[in-house]
Amino acid sequence: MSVMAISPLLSKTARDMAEGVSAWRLWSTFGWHDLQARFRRSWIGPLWLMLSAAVFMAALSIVYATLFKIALGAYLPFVAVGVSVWGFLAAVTSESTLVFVESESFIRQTRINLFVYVFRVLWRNIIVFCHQFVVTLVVLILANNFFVTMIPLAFFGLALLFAQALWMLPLFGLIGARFRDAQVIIQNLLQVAFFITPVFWPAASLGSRRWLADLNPLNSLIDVVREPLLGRVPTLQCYSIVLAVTFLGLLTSSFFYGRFSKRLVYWL
Amino acid sequence: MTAITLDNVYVDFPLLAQNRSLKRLLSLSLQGSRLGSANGKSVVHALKAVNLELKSGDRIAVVGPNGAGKSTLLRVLAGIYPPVIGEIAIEGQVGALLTTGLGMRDDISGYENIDFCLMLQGVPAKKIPAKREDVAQFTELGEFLDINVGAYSSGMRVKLAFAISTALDPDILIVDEIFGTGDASFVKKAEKRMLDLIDRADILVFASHASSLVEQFCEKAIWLQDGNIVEFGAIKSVNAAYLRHVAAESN
Repeated sequence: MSVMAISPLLSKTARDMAEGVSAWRLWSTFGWHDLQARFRRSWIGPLWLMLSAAVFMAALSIVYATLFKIALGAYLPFVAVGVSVWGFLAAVTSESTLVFVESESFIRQTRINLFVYVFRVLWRNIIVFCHQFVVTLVVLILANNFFVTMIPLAFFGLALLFAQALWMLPLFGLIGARFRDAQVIIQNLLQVAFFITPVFWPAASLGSRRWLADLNPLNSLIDVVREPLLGRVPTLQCYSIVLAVTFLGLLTSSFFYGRFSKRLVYWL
Repeated sequence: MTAITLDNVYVDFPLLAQNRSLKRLLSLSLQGSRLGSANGKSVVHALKAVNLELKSGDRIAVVGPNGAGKSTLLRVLAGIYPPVIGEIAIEGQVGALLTTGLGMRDDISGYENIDFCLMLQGVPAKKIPAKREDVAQFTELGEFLDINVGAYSSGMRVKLAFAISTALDPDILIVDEIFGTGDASFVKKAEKRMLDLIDRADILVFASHASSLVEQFCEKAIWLQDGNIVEFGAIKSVNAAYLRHVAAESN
């Protein structure tokens, strides 16, 4: 397909996205209510998020620090960042196929910009992430592993992390609405990805097969957040991979959205 | 200037989860007339070659048997279903009352529900406090609005949902069926509120089976049959023609 045919599709996506951003009151309330519903009648509410993150980090650290024979103090910060970043990625990916399906009744009854539903899911996941990230920060500070000078780079890393959700949610959302078994496929892939990505084990432990981790874009994505928080500057290769994935992801997603968003309501 | 123009609009529904036997079953009951294929995929033709021009001041009823495409037409007019073929131009803000209680949540309070549902219907932030007051007053739910809707009786829910969806002031009002309401004293109030809402709108499109009801506030009518507009004109004559057709069918 020529560039001439693609550019109107991309500009439609850009228009919808901008319009969606301006409806921030709606989607932020939407996402907030989602979380309220999730934690209704629970006694400590969103504190559960922190608690479950803390338990997960502690359990992983104790077992794997022993297995890998690394000092717990050095290993814990590594796991703490990895787990919270992975938590965000995993939640966004597994919810992505349901972005439009879960909002079916709204899409079929009112004319609202579809990005409102995308931002709804993004927003509630950012809120969840922030809760769990508090635990990570506490771990970093307690482990005396907090580098003020690296904060800007860490923020840049987080922005890149959130940017992935921006293309994954609409793209997988459309696919998930059209092909309902996409959900199962994504869940399966996610599980495999968790074990082959250096979330809780250091890439260096791969030894001569380190390239397995280096070529894994998920590893680069974690590293753009994790490295600065552990006091190191991520490699150029790491940034290049993440930026390339972001660019290609946004391009593909914009194309699909521009092409198929009009059909979405008929798929629900 | 409020207006809606439909130019040669077609709407097809893809049959996505159809196995062969179900497909055959459907084509038997519909004699294959509305099942077709586009690019080799099975579809139901819900609207075919619809041309329509609605202007400011129009009060239009949509009549027709079940499955004629009434709801589909309303959703096209509301901008929810983009036409597969053809063009639609909508000028003015649309308010579509297709179901009651859209967006109501059990786990937040009545007031929070009011704010959220109004936002959902596109009410600008600065107008919300006044609307919230209006809804609260109409429902007479008082302090119940401070507690979670999950604790409401079904009657209270209906009142709240009705009050919220009739609090809007759209240029184009699209109504599917008449709204379910609560106890007897509430029905009177609800009717008045509904009529007020209709008065505020520039264009009304109303789908209903009860022809006496639609004749109260509609001047024109569209008779839909199998996804086609059979007749569009003054409500009395369209209704009469439609009723003759129904009588002839049942004989």
